[in-house]
Amino acid sequence: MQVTIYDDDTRLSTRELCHICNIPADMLIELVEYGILEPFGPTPAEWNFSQECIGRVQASMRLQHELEINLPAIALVLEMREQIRALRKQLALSGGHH
Amino acid sequence: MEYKDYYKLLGVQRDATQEEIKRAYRKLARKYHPDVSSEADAEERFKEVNEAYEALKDPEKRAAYDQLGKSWKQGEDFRPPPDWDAGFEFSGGGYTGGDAAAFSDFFESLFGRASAQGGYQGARHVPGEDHHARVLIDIEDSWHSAQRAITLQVPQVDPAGHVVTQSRTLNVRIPKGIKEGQRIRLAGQGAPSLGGGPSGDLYLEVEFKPHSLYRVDGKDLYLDLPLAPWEAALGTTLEVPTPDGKVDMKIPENTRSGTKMRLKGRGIPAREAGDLYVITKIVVPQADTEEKRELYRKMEQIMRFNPRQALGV
Repeated sequence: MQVTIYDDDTRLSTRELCHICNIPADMLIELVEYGILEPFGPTPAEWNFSQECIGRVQASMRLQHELEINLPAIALVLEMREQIRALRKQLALSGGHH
Repeated sequence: MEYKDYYKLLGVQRDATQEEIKRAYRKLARKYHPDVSSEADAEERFKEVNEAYEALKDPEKRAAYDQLGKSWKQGEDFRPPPDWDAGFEFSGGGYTGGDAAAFSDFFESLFGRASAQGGYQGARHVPGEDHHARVLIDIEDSWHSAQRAITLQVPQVDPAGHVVTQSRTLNVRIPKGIKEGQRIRLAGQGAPSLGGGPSGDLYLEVEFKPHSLYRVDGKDLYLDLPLAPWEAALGTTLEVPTPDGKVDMKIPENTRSGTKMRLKGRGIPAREAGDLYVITKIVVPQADTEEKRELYRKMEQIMRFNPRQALGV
């Protein structure tokens, strides 16, 4: 069985990310336009993405499908989720009450 | 099988309008959506709410469900009465969304199973779909690397076209130094291709189980280190646990509670290993004998210490 580790150094092309998340390239471009994904590289042909983008695309698709919200709202939801997670982490690391 | 009170799950009256049902569903879907909810049982609740809405949003399914009567209670043992659904036509159809494989036996006994989506006929050499799953591992597995049996619940289509859940166990080597949020890609372990093409891949997203001693932040670890007041005041050298075994650590004189000290390179292994942060916590011994009380009184006299000086009292 061929095993690959996707770590912080992993970079995925537009095509690879679309394939892994099963979305068309148009959708990926929209996700970038709304700031939900931040690619490295200047143009879609040269874009590449960190592996964390897999989770962000999947969460976006679930939110769109299951909560019927549009991309600007998804961008806002994900941003606030990041903030909540960061605050929770800070709380857990400083307090030590768990 | 358990009876499901779909009205109760959505928090609406049995005579609620379709509009009220939709509003209740939307509110609960936001509350329990696993991507945004902080509720511990969000995923389970989200599934229940979806199932309830799937049954009640369609007037035909709702009418059939209502026909079962009002006397059933949520969770009660249930067998569908014979011919209960005569006159209704929805079996196998009418699925409008949601993760049909996740619906309960109760739902399926009433409305049938979701048919598998067609559309593969004629497709040749189309690769199978990629699958994604989350795996919980122990922090120690990332230190030492470990072989772990990982069991996944996989929805599959049986020969009759029904969606069934099967469990599948894979032996996976957890590579040393893996961090939370990283993925392990197993080539060819996703869905098989229906047209003779290659199978899809399986992506496992790594998450750490909560640990009794350490908290994790990226590749750094945090450990609370309890100190006796004299250890903190006088300084000492003591043993500190790390995932790699105990190490000696020097506690300087007059260490305060909450001081953060770094053991470099004792975090999660990597090209540049993470650090282990030790947070001191001074623990006050109980004055539970006359001798100990006497000692505290003596300290009071000698120390002349006001911990509330900054409060101006």
